[in-house]
Amino acid sequence: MATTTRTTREPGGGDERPRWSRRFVAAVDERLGIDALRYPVPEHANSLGWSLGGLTLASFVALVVTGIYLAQFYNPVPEAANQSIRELSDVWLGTFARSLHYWAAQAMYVLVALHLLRVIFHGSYQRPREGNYLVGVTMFALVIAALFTGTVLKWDQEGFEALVHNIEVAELLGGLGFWFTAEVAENVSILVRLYSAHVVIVPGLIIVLLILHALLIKRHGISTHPAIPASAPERSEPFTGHLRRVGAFGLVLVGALGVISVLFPPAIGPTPVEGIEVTKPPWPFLWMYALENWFGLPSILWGAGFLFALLVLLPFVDSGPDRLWRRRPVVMVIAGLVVAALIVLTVIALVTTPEAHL
Amino acid sequence: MGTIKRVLLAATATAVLTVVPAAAADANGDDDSDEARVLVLQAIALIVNQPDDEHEIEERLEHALEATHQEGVDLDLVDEAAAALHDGDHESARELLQTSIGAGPFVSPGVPEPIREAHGEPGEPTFAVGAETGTTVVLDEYEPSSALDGGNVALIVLSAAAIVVGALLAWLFRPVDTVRGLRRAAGP
Repeated sequence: MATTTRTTREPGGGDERPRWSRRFVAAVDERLGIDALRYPVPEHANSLGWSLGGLTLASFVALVVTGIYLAQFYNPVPEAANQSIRELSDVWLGTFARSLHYWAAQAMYVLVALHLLRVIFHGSYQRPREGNYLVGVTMFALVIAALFTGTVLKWDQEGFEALVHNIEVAELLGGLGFWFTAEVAENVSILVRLYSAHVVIVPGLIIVLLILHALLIKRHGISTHPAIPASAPERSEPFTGHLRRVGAFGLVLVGALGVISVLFPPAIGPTPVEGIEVTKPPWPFLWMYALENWFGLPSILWGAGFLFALLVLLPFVDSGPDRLWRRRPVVMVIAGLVVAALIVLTVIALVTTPEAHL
Repeated sequence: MGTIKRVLLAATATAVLTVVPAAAADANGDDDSDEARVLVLQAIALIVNQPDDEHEIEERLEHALEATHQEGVDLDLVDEAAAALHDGDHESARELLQTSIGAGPFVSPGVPEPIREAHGEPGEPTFAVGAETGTTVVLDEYEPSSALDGGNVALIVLSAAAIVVGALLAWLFRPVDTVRGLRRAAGP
Protein backbone atom coordinates (compact mmCIF):
# COMPACT_ATOMS: atom_id res chain seq x y z
CA MET A 1 0.00 0.00 0.00
CA ALA A 2 1.34 3.40 -0.89
CA THR A 3 1.83 6.14 1.63
CA THR A 4 -1.43 7.99 2.13
CA THR A 5 -1.82 11.72 1.99
CA ARG A 6 -3.75 12.33 5.20
CA THR A 7 -2.87 15.29 7.38
CA THR A 8 0.38 14.91 9.28
CA ARG A 9 0.08 15.11 13.04
CA GLU A 10 3.16 16.38 14.81
CA PRO A 11 3.51 16.57 18.58
CA GLY A 12 3.38 20.14 19.65
CA GLY A 13 2.57 21.14 16.10
CA GLY A 14 -0.61 22.87 14.96
CA ASP A 15 -3.13 22.06 17.67
CA GLU A 16 -6.54 21.57 16.03
CA ARG A 17 -8.46 21.04 19.26
CA PRO A 18 -11.30 23.44 20.12
CA ARG A 19 -10.34 26.37 22.30
CA TRP A 20 -12.35 25.13 25.32
CA SER A 21 -10.58 21.78 25.07
CA ARG A 22 -7.14 23.39 24.98
CA ARG A 23 -7.97 25.57 27.98
CA PHE A 24 -9.31 22.60 29.93
CA VAL A 25 -6.24 20.45 29.20
CA ALA A 26 -3.97 23.39 30.04
CA ALA A 27 -5.73 23.87 33.37
CA VAL A 28 -5.44 20.18 34.25
CA ASP A 29 -1.85 20.05 33.00
CA GLU A 30 -0.86 22.97 35.18
CA ARG A 31 -1.96 20.95 38.21
CA LEU A 32 -1.24 17.33 37.23
CA GLY A 33 1.41 17.58 34.53
CA ILE A 34 -0.51 15.38 32.06
CA ASP A 35 1.25 17.05 29.13
CA ALA A 36 4.16 14.77 29.97
CA LEU A 37 2.15 12.06 28.20
CA ARG A 38 2.50 13.88 24.90
CA TYR A 39 6.02 12.63 24.30
CA PRO A 40 6.69 11.53 20.73
CA VAL A 41 6.40 7.91 19.65
CA PRO A 42 7.01 6.48 16.17
CA GLU A 43 3.90 6.10 14.08
CA HIS A 44 4.27 2.33 13.66
CA ALA A 45 3.41 2.03 17.36
CA ASN A 46 -0.21 2.66 16.38
CA SER A 47 -0.50 -0.60 14.45
CA LEU A 48 -2.45 -3.46 16.03
CA GLY A 49 0.66 -5.58 16.59
CA TRP A 50 2.38 -2.83 18.53
CA SER A 51 -0.78 -2.09 20.52
CA LEU A 52 -0.99 -5.57 22.10
CA GLY A 53 0.51 -4.32 25.36
CA GLY A 54 -2.14 -1.60 25.52
CA LEU A 55 -4.85 -4.16 24.78
CA THR A 56 -3.51 -6.32 27.62
CA LEU A 57 -3.99 -3.28 29.83
CA ALA A 58 -7.56 -2.87 28.51
CA SER A 59 -8.39 -6.44 29.53
CA PHE A 60 -6.74 -5.84 32.90
CA VAL A 61 -9.00 -2.82 33.45
CA ALA A 62 -12.04 -4.97 32.59
CA LEU A 63 -10.80 -7.55 35.10
CA VAL A 64 -10.36 -4.98 37.86
CA VAL A 65 -13.82 -3.46 37.32
CA THR A 66 -15.64 -6.81 37.20
CA GLY A 67 -13.44 -8.16 40.00
CA ILE A 68 -14.42 -5.33 42.34
CA TYR A 69 -18.08 -6.07 41.61
CA LEU A 70 -17.68 -9.83 42.11
CA ALA A 71 -15.82 -9.29 45.39
CA GLN A 72 -19.03 -7.87 46.88
CA PHE A 73 -20.72 -11.26 46.57
CA TYR A 74 -17.96 -13.86 46.71
CA ASN A 75 -17.51 -15.64 50.03
CA PRO A 76 -13.91 -16.91 50.28
CA VAL A 77 -14.43 -19.65 52.86
CA PRO A 78 -14.36 -23.25 51.68
CA GLU A 79 -17.84 -24.12 52.93
CA ALA A 80 -19.47 -21.28 51.01
CA ALA A 81 -17.20 -20.29 48.10
CA ASN A 82 -18.67 -22.54 45.40
CA GLN A 83 -22.23 -21.77 46.48
CA SER A 84 -21.61 -18.01 46.52
CA ILE A 85 -20.59 -18.19 42.85
CA ARG A 86 -23.76 -20.10 41.99
CA GLU A 87 -25.78 -17.42 43.76
CA LEU A 88 -24.39 -14.76 41.41
CA SER A 89 -27.27 -15.79 39.15
CA ASP A 90 -29.57 -14.05 41.64
CA VAL A 91 -27.52 -10.84 41.62
CA TRP A 92 -28.10 -8.00 39.15
CA LEU A 93 -25.58 -8.54 36.31
CA GLY A 94 -23.89 -11.18 38.49
CA THR A 95 -23.66 -13.88 35.80
CA PHE A 96 -22.55 -11.32 33.22
CA ALA A 97 -19.90 -9.84 35.52
CA ARG A 98 -18.43 -13.26 36.28
CA SER A 99 -18.55 -14.26 32.63
CA LEU A 100 -16.86 -11.03 31.55
CA HIS A 101 -14.24 -11.54 34.27
CA TYR A 102 -13.60 -15.07 33.01
CA TRP A 103 -13.35 -14.12 29.35
CA ALA A 104 -11.28 -11.01 30.05
CA ALA A 105 -8.84 -13.26 31.91
CA GLN A 106 -8.56 -15.55 28.88
CA ALA A 107 -8.07 -12.49 26.68
CA MET A 108 -5.40 -11.04 28.96
CA TYR A 109 -3.43 -14.29 28.90
CA VAL A 110 -3.60 -14.52 25.10
CA LEU A 111 -2.81 -10.83 24.59
CA VAL A 112 0.15 -10.75 26.97
CA ALA A 113 1.54 -13.89 25.28
CA LEU A 114 1.11 -12.32 21.84
CA HIS A 115 2.70 -9.09 23.09
CA LEU A 116 5.66 -11.09 24.36
CA LEU A 117 5.95 -12.90 21.02
CA ARG A 118 5.82 -9.57 19.19
CA VAL A 119 8.63 -8.25 21.38
CA ILE A 120 10.68 -11.39 20.70
CA PHE A 121 9.94 -11.30 16.97
CA HIS A 122 11.10 -7.69 16.66
CA GLY A 123 13.99 -8.00 19.12
CA SER A 124 12.54 -5.17 21.18
CA TYR A 125 14.26 -6.54 24.29
CA GLN A 126 17.73 -5.56 23.11
CA ARG A 127 19.82 -2.86 24.73
CA PRO A 128 18.83 -0.62 26.44
CA ARG A 129 15.46 -2.27 27.01
CA GLU A 130 16.59 -5.49 28.77
CA GLY A 131 15.36 -4.25 32.14
CA ASN A 132 11.95 -3.29 30.85
CA TYR A 133 11.70 -6.65 29.06
CA LEU A 134 12.35 -8.45 32.36
CA VAL A 135 9.66 -6.33 34.01
CA GLY A 136 7.32 -7.53 31.25
CA VAL A 137 8.31 -11.18 31.73
CA THR A 138 7.60 -10.79 35.44
CA MET A 139 4.17 -9.38 34.63
CA PHE A 140 3.59 -12.38 32.34
CA ALA A 141 4.33 -14.65 35.31
CA LEU A 142 1.94 -12.60 37.45
CA VAL A 143 -0.82 -12.96 34.85
CA ILE A 144 -0.35 -16.73 35.06
CA ALA A 145 -0.49 -16.47 38.86
CA ALA A 146 -3.73 -14.51 38.60
CA LEU A 147 -5.19 -17.18 36.30
CA PHE A 148 -4.16 -19.92 38.69
CA THR A 149 -5.52 -18.26 41.83
CA GLY A 150 -8.73 -17.37 39.99
CA THR A 151 -9.15 -21.00 39.01
CA VAL A 152 -8.80 -22.11 42.63
CA LEU A 153 -11.25 -19.47 43.89
CA LYS A 154 -14.10 -21.24 42.07
CA TRP A 155 -13.59 -23.97 44.62
CA ASP A 156 -14.92 -26.69 42.39
CA GLN A 157 -13.28 -30.02 41.65
CA GLU A 158 -11.11 -28.53 38.90
CA GLY A 159 -9.95 -25.65 41.08
CA PHE A 160 -9.24 -27.85 44.06
CA GLU A 161 -7.22 -30.35 42.03
CA ALA A 162 -5.20 -27.44 40.62
CA LEU A 163 -4.54 -26.31 44.19
CA VAL A 164 -3.46 -29.78 45.31
CA HIS A 165 -1.02 -29.97 42.41
CA ASN A 166 0.35 -26.57 43.29
CA ILE A 167 0.84 -27.59 46.91
CA GLU A 168 2.70 -30.72 45.80
CA VAL A 169 4.92 -28.69 43.46
CA ALA A 170 5.55 -26.16 46.26
CA GLU A 171 6.63 -28.96 48.56
CA LEU A 172 9.12 -30.12 45.93
CA LEU A 173 10.68 -26.68 46.19
CA GLY A 174 11.19 -27.03 49.92
CA GLY A 175 11.58 -23.68 51.66
CA LEU A 176 11.14 -21.73 48.42
CA GLY A 177 7.58 -23.00 48.01
CA PHE A 178 6.64 -22.56 51.66
CA TRP A 179 4.06 -19.81 51.08
CA PHE A 180 2.07 -22.05 48.74
CA THR A 181 1.61 -24.82 51.28
CA ALA A 182 -1.10 -25.12 53.91
CA GLU A 183 1.50 -25.16 56.69
CA VAL A 184 2.07 -21.39 56.60
CA ALA A 185 -1.09 -20.70 58.60
CA GLU A 186 -2.60 -23.95 59.75
CA ASN A 187 -5.73 -22.39 61.23
CA VAL A 188 -6.57 -20.45 58.08
CA SER A 189 -7.88 -22.03 54.90
CA ILE A 190 -5.44 -21.77 52.01
CA LEU A 191 -8.41 -20.57 49.96
CA VAL A 192 -8.55 -17.38 52.03
CA ARG A 193 -4.84 -16.78 51.49
CA LEU A 194 -5.13 -17.39 47.76
CA TYR A 195 -8.08 -14.99 47.69
CA SER A 196 -5.89 -12.30 49.24
CA ALA A 197 -3.26 -13.08 46.61
CA HIS A 198 -5.83 -12.87 43.80
CA VAL A 199 -7.39 -9.58 44.81
CA VAL A 200 -4.48 -7.74 46.46
CA ILE A 201 -0.99 -9.18 46.03
CA VAL A 202 -1.03 -10.20 42.35
CA PRO A 203 -2.97 -7.23 40.90
CA GLY A 204 -1.06 -4.89 43.23
CA LEU A 205 2.26 -6.15 41.92
CA ILE A 206 0.97 -5.96 38.34
CA ILE A 207 0.00 -2.31 38.86
CA VAL A 208 3.38 -1.43 40.40
CA LEU A 209 5.25 -3.16 37.56
CA LEU A 210 2.92 -1.63 34.99
CA ILE A 211 3.84 1.86 36.21
CA LEU A 212 7.52 0.94 36.02
CA HIS A 213 6.96 -0.57 32.54
CA ALA A 214 5.30 2.66 31.34
CA LEU A 215 8.00 4.89 32.85
CA LEU A 216 10.73 2.83 31.20
CA ILE A 217 8.90 2.99 27.88
CA LYS A 218 8.97 6.77 28.20
CA ARG A 219 12.61 6.68 29.29
CA HIS A 220 13.79 4.58 26.34
CA GLY A 221 11.03 5.37 23.86
CA ILE A 222 9.05 2.79 21.92
CA SER A 223 11.54 0.69 19.97
CA THR A 224 12.04 1.34 16.30
CA HIS A 225 10.55 -1.09 13.81
CA PRO A 226 13.39 -3.30 12.55
CA ALA A 227 11.80 -3.53 9.11
CA ILE A 228 11.60 0.25 8.67
CA PRO A 229 14.93 1.67 7.45
CA ALA A 230 16.38 4.61 9.33
CA SER A 231 16.15 6.64 6.12
CA ALA A 232 12.37 6.17 5.92
CA PRO A 233 10.34 9.36 6.50
CA GLU A 234 8.43 7.97 9.47
CA ARG A 235 6.38 10.53 11.36
CA SER A 236 6.06 10.68 15.11
CA GLU A 237 2.87 10.98 17.11
CA PRO A 238 2.26 12.14 20.67
CA PHE A 239 1.90 9.20 23.05
CA THR A 240 -1.63 10.41 23.74
CA GLY A 241 -2.41 9.60 20.11
CA HIS A 242 -1.20 6.05 20.71
CA LEU A 243 -3.39 5.85 23.82
CA ARG A 244 -6.34 7.07 21.76
CA ARG A 245 -5.94 4.27 19.22
CA VAL A 246 -5.36 1.68 21.95
CA GLY A 247 -8.58 2.94 23.54
CA ALA A 248 -10.42 2.38 20.26
CA PHE A 249 -9.01 -1.15 19.97
CA GLY A 250 -9.89 -1.68 23.64
CA LEU A 251 -13.49 -0.70 22.98
CA VAL A 252 -13.68 -3.36 20.25
CA LEU A 253 -12.11 -5.89 22.62
CA VAL A 254 -14.51 -5.15 25.49
CA GLY A 255 -17.47 -5.25 23.11
CA ALA A 256 -16.40 -8.64 21.75
CA LEU A 257 -15.85 -9.94 25.27
CA GLY A 258 -19.31 -8.65 26.20
CA VAL A 259 -20.99 -10.61 23.41
CA ILE A 260 -19.03 -13.77 24.24
CA SER A 261 -19.82 -13.33 27.94
CA VAL A 262 -23.56 -13.26 27.32
CA LEU A 263 -23.55 -16.21 24.94
CA PHE A 264 -21.03 -18.44 26.75
CA PRO A 265 -21.15 -17.93 30.52
CA PRO A 266 -18.65 -20.26 32.26
CA ALA A 267 -20.00 -23.16 34.30
CA ILE A 268 -19.09 -23.80 37.91
CA GLY A 269 -18.10 -27.39 38.65
CA PRO A 270 -19.18 -29.70 41.47
CA THR A 271 -18.12 -28.86 45.03
CA PRO A 272 -14.64 -30.33 45.59
CA VAL A 273 -13.76 -33.58 47.29
CA GLU A 274 -10.20 -34.47 48.15
CA GLY A 275 -8.60 -37.79 47.28
CA ILE A 276 -9.83 -38.06 43.70
CA GLU A 277 -8.44 -36.73 40.40
CA VAL A 278 -11.08 -36.49 37.73
CA THR A 279 -10.46 -33.16 35.99
CA LYS A 280 -7.92 -31.51 33.74
CA PRO A 281 -6.58 -28.00 34.36
CA PRO A 282 -7.74 -24.91 32.41
CA TRP A 283 -6.27 -24.71 28.92
CA PRO A 284 -3.34 -22.35 29.72
CA PHE A 285 -1.94 -25.07 32.02
CA LEU A 286 -2.69 -28.08 29.80
CA TRP A 287 0.86 -28.28 28.41
CA MET A 288 2.14 -28.84 31.94
CA TYR A 289 -0.52 -31.51 32.44
CA ALA A 290 0.78 -33.41 29.40
CA LEU A 291 4.31 -33.25 30.83
CA GLU A 292 3.03 -34.52 34.16
CA ASN A 293 1.30 -37.45 32.46
CA TRP A 294 4.61 -38.51 30.95
CA PHE A 295 7.27 -37.55 33.48
CA GLY A 296 5.48 -37.07 36.79
CA LEU A 297 4.90 -34.10 39.05
CA PRO A 298 8.44 -32.59 39.03
CA SER A 299 8.14 -32.05 35.28
CA ILE A 300 5.64 -29.24 35.96
CA LEU A 301 8.39 -27.45 37.82
CA TRP A 302 11.04 -28.22 35.25
CA GLY A 303 8.81 -27.29 32.30
CA ALA A 304 7.80 -23.94 33.73
CA GLY A 305 11.34 -23.28 34.96
CA PHE A 306 12.80 -24.03 31.54
CA LEU A 307 10.32 -21.73 29.78
CA PHE A 308 10.99 -18.80 32.09
CA ALA A 309 14.75 -19.42 32.09
CA LEU A 310 14.69 -19.09 28.30
CA LEU A 311 12.68 -15.89 28.52
CA VAL A 312 14.95 -14.35 31.15
CA LEU A 313 18.18 -15.29 29.37
CA LEU A 314 17.00 -14.14 25.95
CA PRO A 315 18.12 -10.46 26.01
CA PHE A 316 21.56 -11.44 27.34
CA VAL A 317 22.12 -14.15 24.72
CA ASP A 318 20.68 -12.23 21.78
CA SER A 319 22.16 -8.84 22.58
CA GLY A 320 22.13 -7.41 19.09
CA PRO A 321 22.72 -5.41 17.10
CA ASP A 322 20.52 -7.13 14.48
CA ARG A 323 16.82 -7.01 15.24
CA LEU A 324 15.33 -8.12 11.94
CA TRP A 325 13.97 -11.65 12.38
CA ARG A 326 15.74 -12.97 9.29
CA ARG A 327 19.09 -12.09 10.81
CA ARG A 328 18.35 -13.89 14.08
CA PRO A 329 17.68 -17.46 12.86
CA VAL A 330 18.72 -19.18 16.11
CA VAL A 331 16.33 -17.15 18.26
CA MET A 332 13.54 -17.53 15.72
CA VAL A 333 14.00 -21.31 15.47
CA ILE A 334 14.12 -21.76 19.26
CA ALA A 335 11.08 -19.51 19.76
CA GLY A 336 9.21 -21.37 17.02
CA LEU A 337 10.05 -24.75 18.56
CA VAL A 338 8.96 -23.64 22.03
CA VAL A 339 5.65 -22.27 20.74
CA ALA A 340 5.07 -25.43 18.67
CA ALA A 341 5.88 -27.63 21.67
CA LEU A 342 3.45 -25.72 23.88
CA ILE A 343 0.69 -26.04 21.28
CA VAL A 344 1.32 -29.76 20.64
CA LEU A 345 1.46 -30.55 24.38
CA THR A 346 -1.78 -28.61 24.91
CA VAL A 347 -3.56 -30.51 22.15
CA ILE A 348 -2.28 -33.85 23.46
CA ALA A 349 -3.52 -33.04 26.96
CA LEU A 350 -6.83 -31.89 25.52
CA VAL A 351 -7.57 -35.23 23.87
CA THR A 352 -6.39 -37.49 26.72
CA THR A 353 -8.65 -38.63 29.55
CA PRO A 354 -7.90 -37.30 33.06
CA GLU A 355 -5.35 -39.33 35.01
CA ALA A 356 -4.60 -39.60 38.71
CA HIS A 357 -1.07 -38.36 39.51
CA LEU A 358 -0.95 -37.79 43.24
CA MET B 1 34.79 -22.13 40.52
CA GLY B 2 33.68 -21.01 37.05
CA THR B 3 30.22 -19.67 36.34
CA ILE B 4 29.28 -22.69 34.23
CA LYS B 5 30.34 -25.08 36.99
CA ARG B 6 28.31 -23.16 39.52
CA VAL B 7 25.23 -23.25 37.26
CA LEU B 8 25.66 -27.00 36.69
CA LEU B 9 26.06 -27.60 40.41
CA ALA B 10 22.94 -25.58 41.18
CA ALA B 11 20.96 -27.45 38.51
CA THR B 12 22.11 -30.82 39.88
CA ALA B 13 21.22 -29.82 43.42
CA THR B 14 17.78 -28.66 42.29
CA ALA B 15 17.25 -31.92 40.41
CA VAL B 16 18.13 -33.96 43.47
CA LEU B 17 15.91 -31.81 45.67
CA THR B 18 12.93 -32.19 43.34
CA VAL B 19 13.22 -35.70 41.91
CA VAL B 20 14.22 -37.57 45.06
CA PRO B 21 11.30 -36.37 47.19
CA ALA B 22 8.97 -37.16 44.30
CA ALA B 23 10.33 -40.68 44.06
CA ALA B 24 9.96 -41.07 47.80
CA ALA B 25 6.38 -39.86 47.59
CA ASP B 26 5.64 -42.34 44.82
CA ALA B 27 7.14 -45.11 46.92
CA ASN B 28 4.50 -44.47 49.59
CA GLY B 29 2.02 -46.18 47.26
CA ASP B 30 -1.73 -46.23 47.92
CA ASP B 31 -2.86 -43.47 50.28
CA ASP B 32 -6.61 -44.16 50.45
CA SER B 33 -8.33 -42.61 53.41
CA ASP B 34 -9.28 -44.83 56.36
CA GLU B 35 -12.30 -42.64 57.15
CA ALA B 36 -15.63 -43.95 55.89
CA ARG B 37 -17.03 -40.41 55.64
CA VAL B 38 -14.24 -39.25 53.34
CA LEU B 39 -14.58 -42.36 51.17
CA VAL B 40 -18.35 -41.88 50.88
CA LEU B 41 -17.80 -38.26 49.82
CA GLN B 42 -15.28 -39.44 47.22
CA ALA B 43 -17.79 -41.98 45.91
CA ILE B 44 -20.42 -39.24 45.57
CA ALA B 45 -17.92 -36.99 43.80
CA LEU B 46 -17.10 -39.79 41.37
CA ILE B 47 -20.80 -40.34 40.68
CA VAL B 48 -21.08 -36.61 39.88
CA ASN B 49 -17.83 -36.25 37.91
CA GLN B 50 -17.24 -39.68 36.37
CA PRO B 51 -20.51 -41.65 36.51
CA ASP B 52 -19.23 -44.19 33.98
CA ASP B 53 -16.36 -45.29 36.20
CA GLU B 54 -18.49 -47.69 38.26
CA HIS B 55 -15.55 -49.86 39.27
CA GLU B 56 -13.86 -46.92 41.00
CA ILE B 57 -17.11 -45.89 42.73
CA GLU B 58 -17.80 -49.44 43.97
CA GLU B 59 -14.25 -49.70 45.25
CA ARG B 60 -14.67 -46.55 47.36
CA LEU B 61 -17.89 -47.91 48.84
CA GLU B 62 -16.24 -51.24 49.67
CA HIS B 63 -13.39 -49.39 51.38
CA ALA B 64 -15.91 -47.23 53.27
CA LEU B 65 -17.70 -50.33 54.57
CA GLU B 66 -14.38 -51.76 55.75
CA ALA B 67 -12.86 -48.46 56.97
CA THR B 68 -11.21 -48.18 60.37
CA HIS B 69 -13.06 -44.98 61.25
CA GLN B 70 -16.79 -45.24 60.58
CA GLU B 71 -18.03 -42.40 62.82
CA GLY B 72 -20.83 -40.21 61.40
CA VAL B 73 -21.75 -42.64 58.62
CA ASP B 74 -24.85 -44.82 58.41
CA LEU B 75 -23.27 -47.94 56.92
CA ASP B 76 -26.62 -49.62 56.26
CA LEU B 77 -27.42 -46.78 53.87
CA VAL B 78 -24.00 -47.16 52.26
CA ASP B 79 -24.79 -50.84 51.75
CA GLU B 80 -28.12 -49.92 50.15
CA ALA B 81 -26.34 -47.38 47.97
CA ALA B 82 -23.90 -50.05 46.79
CA ALA B 83 -26.85 -52.26 45.81
CA ALA B 84 -28.53 -49.36 43.98
CA LEU B 85 -25.30 -48.65 42.17
CA HIS B 86 -25.03 -52.29 41.20
CA ASP B 87 -28.54 -51.99 39.69
CA GLY B 88 -27.41 -48.95 37.71
CA ASP B 89 -29.52 -46.51 39.72
CA HIS B 90 -27.01 -43.71 40.22
CA GLU B 91 -29.60 -41.20 41.41
CA SER B 92 -30.76 -43.37 44.31
CA ALA B 93 -27.20 -44.37 45.14
CA ARG B 94 -26.16 -40.72 45.33
CA GLU B 95 -29.14 -39.77 47.50
CA LEU B 96 -28.55 -42.69 49.86
CA LEU B 97 -24.89 -41.80 50.18
CA GLN B 98 -25.66 -38.14 50.87
CA THR B 99 -28.13 -39.23 53.53
CA SER B 100 -25.67 -41.71 55.01
CA ILE B 101 -23.41 -38.82 56.01
CA GLY B 102 -26.31 -36.62 57.11
CA ALA B 103 -26.17 -34.32 54.12
CA GLY B 104 -29.50 -35.18 52.54
CA PRO B 105 -31.49 -31.95 52.54
CA PHE B 106 -29.58 -30.65 49.55
CA VAL B 107 -30.79 -33.47 47.34
CA SER B 108 -34.25 -34.16 48.79
CA PRO B 109 -36.44 -32.69 51.52
CA GLY B 110 -37.34 -34.37 54.77
CA VAL B 111 -34.08 -36.12 55.59
CA PRO B 112 -31.69 -35.29 58.43
CA GLU B 113 -29.99 -31.92 58.80
CA PRO B 114 -26.52 -31.72 57.28
CA ILE B 115 -23.65 -32.22 59.65
CA ARG B 116 -20.31 -30.46 59.36
CA GLU B 117 -17.00 -32.11 59.75
CA ALA B 118 -15.56 -31.37 63.19
CA HIS B 119 -11.88 -30.57 63.63
CA GLY B 120 -9.90 -30.91 66.83
CA GLU B 121 -11.15 -30.63 70.37
CA PRO B 122 -14.43 -29.04 71.55
CA GLY B 123 -14.18 -25.30 71.49
CA GLU B 124 -11.84 -25.28 68.51
CA PRO B 125 -12.98 -23.99 65.12
CA THR B 126 -15.12 -26.39 63.11
CA PHE B 127 -14.71 -24.69 59.76
CA ALA B 128 -12.32 -25.89 57.10
CA VAL B 129 -8.67 -24.93 57.56
CA GLY B 130 -5.46 -25.56 55.62
CA ALA B 131 -6.21 -27.39 52.40
CA GLU B 132 -9.49 -28.95 53.55
CA THR B 133 -12.35 -28.69 51.10
CA GLY B 134 -15.15 -27.94 53.58
CA THR B 135 -17.45 -29.91 51.32
CA THR B 136 -20.38 -31.60 52.99
CA VAL B 137 -22.54 -31.99 49.90
CA VAL B 138 -21.32 -32.64 46.37
CA LEU B 139 -23.31 -30.33 44.14
CA ASP B 140 -23.78 -30.94 40.42
CA GLU B 141 -22.03 -28.77 37.88
CA TYR B 142 -23.99 -25.55 37.41
CA GLU B 143 -24.36 -23.91 34.02
CA PRO B 144 -25.72 -20.36 34.14
CA SER B 145 -28.44 -19.56 31.67
CA SER B 146 -27.43 -18.02 28.37
CA ALA B 147 -31.02 -17.61 27.21
CA LEU B 148 -31.62 -14.44 25.23
CA ASP B 149 -33.98 -12.64 27.60
CA GLY B 150 -34.43 -8.86 27.59
CA GLY B 151 -31.40 -8.17 29.77
CA ASN B 152 -29.08 -10.34 27.71
CA VAL B 153 -30.31 -8.83 24.44
CA ALA B 154 -29.62 -5.35 25.84
CA LEU B 155 -26.10 -6.43 26.83
CA ILE B 156 -25.45 -7.83 23.37
CA VAL B 157 -26.71 -4.64 21.73
CA LEU B 158 -24.49 -2.50 23.97
CA SER B 159 -21.50 -4.75 23.30
CA ALA B 160 -22.13 -4.67 19.56
CA ALA B 161 -22.34 -0.88 19.72
CA ALA B 162 -18.97 -0.82 21.51
CA ILE B 163 -17.48 -2.97 18.73
CA VAL B 164 -18.83 -0.70 15.98
CA VAL B 165 -17.81 2.57 17.69
CA GLY B 166 -14.39 1.15 18.59
CA ALA B 167 -13.80 -0.07 15.04
CA LEU B 168 -14.81 3.32 13.61
CA LEU B 169 -12.52 5.17 16.01
CA ALA B 170 -9.65 2.77 15.27
CA TRP B 171 -10.13 3.45 11.56
CA LEU B 172 -10.33 7.20 12.18
CA PHE B 173 -7.14 7.18 14.27
CA ARG B 174 -5.25 4.82 11.95
CA PRO B 175 -1.58 5.60 11.19
CA VAL B 176 -0.95 7.81 8.22
CA ASP B 177 1.73 5.48 6.87
CA THR B 178 2.01 1.71 6.76
CA VAL B 179 5.23 -0.17 7.47
CA ARG B 180 5.28 -1.37 3.87
CA GLY B 181 4.74 2.17 2.62
CA LEU B 182 7.60 3.50 4.73
CA ARG B 183 9.94 0.80 3.47
CA ARG B 184 9.01 1.66 -0.08
CA ALA B 185 9.47 5.38 0.57
CA ALA B 186 12.95 4.71 1.96
CA GLY B 187 13.93 3.18 -1.36
CA PRO B 188 16.17 0.16 -2.04
